[in-house]
Amino acid sequence: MNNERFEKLIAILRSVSLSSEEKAEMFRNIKTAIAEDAFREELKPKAFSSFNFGFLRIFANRYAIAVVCLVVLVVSSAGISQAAEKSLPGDFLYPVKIQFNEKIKASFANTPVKKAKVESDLTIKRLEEAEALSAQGKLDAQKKESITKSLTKHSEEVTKNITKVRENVSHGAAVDLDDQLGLSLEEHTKVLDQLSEGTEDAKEPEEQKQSFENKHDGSQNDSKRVIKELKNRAEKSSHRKDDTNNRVNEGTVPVQ
Amino acid sequence: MNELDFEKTYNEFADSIFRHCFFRVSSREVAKDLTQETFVKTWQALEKGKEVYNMKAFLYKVATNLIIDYYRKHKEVSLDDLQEKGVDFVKESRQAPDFMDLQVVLREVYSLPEKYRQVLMMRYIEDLSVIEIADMISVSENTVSVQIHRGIQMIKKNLNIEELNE
Repeated sequence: MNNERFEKLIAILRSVSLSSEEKAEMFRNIKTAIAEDAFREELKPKAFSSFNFGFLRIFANRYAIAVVCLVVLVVSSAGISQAAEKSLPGDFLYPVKIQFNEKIKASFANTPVKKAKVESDLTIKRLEEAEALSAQGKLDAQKKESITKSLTKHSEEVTKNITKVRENVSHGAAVDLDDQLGLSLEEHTKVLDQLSEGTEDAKEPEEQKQSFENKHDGSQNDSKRVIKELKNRAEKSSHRKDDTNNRVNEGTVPVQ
Repeated sequence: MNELDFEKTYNEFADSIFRHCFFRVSSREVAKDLTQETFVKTWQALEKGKEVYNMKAFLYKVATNLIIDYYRKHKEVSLDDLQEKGVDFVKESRQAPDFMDLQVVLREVYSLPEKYRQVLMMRYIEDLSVIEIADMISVSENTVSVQIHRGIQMIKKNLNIEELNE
């Protein structure tokens, strides 16, 4: 027994093969199987159906549902909040603007300076709303009252925070803030006049309601006082500007 | 690959794949079915855009996987079954050198453990290199070399061969 026997063994094993008929028949079978497979593929539903509805499988997972709901909520809230920014008193989304957008904005102001700036901006925004309503002929007594009430609130906050700035930060910073608001108010003196008329007009029918009389009179007086303060602030700012201009013209104040 | 190329590939490798299957499943008919399935699956893979760099290696891999599936579904065939089916081993009598010799040799081959039989057949019948075998059956080259060595030792012992080169 030696390598020759092993070689013979290998030769015998190598002799195992397909006959030519078997080979030909097998190839025919392979072609038929391939053709049938191709036909089955043709009959299968097209990819677009699984593409269209495949995304629904995401709902099989409850965590996925929670995430989708959260995303929808955030996206829709952001959309509503954005749309509310352009709303005016009496609009459907106006309460969202006042109660949500502006409160969030105010909550980010963490120093008296920032608070004063935010409240000044909101004061101006109320006046711009009043102007927009006036231009549309929709500035009735009720809306004037609502705007004036809001103005009163913001203006008081501005005054409170400017006082804090004066006491805790610096007198100069407080004057700057005051000036900034005054300069902005200058552009809205007309609407301030309209609003001051409004508070007087709105007073007459309210006088009949005895139960609210005292309270109403109090708020009316506050509103009148605040509007007067705002007008004064605008006037002061205007005078200060005129003074500065005169001094610049006379050469006592250097031009920056 | 077009149909013509595929037919060429079939003619080139059909016998090798058939032998590979035959020495593993010990049934000519099952080996023919597995060979046929190997080529169908290979065509389908090519149709789906599978890039095949070594067609021979790919065919052996597909065939090996089909054989594994076959073993999972069927119980092992005993040597007695093999003897009963012996007449089915080679159809073309002119290609069989000696029917009795083949019976004896196959008896020896099937007496080897499956893992040694597989690598020995691939190495000595199909002339595949150790690297190719390792790639086809997804084991290390070292494992293939060890299995070939041990398989040869068993054949030496069984056939009483003293001087056999590996």
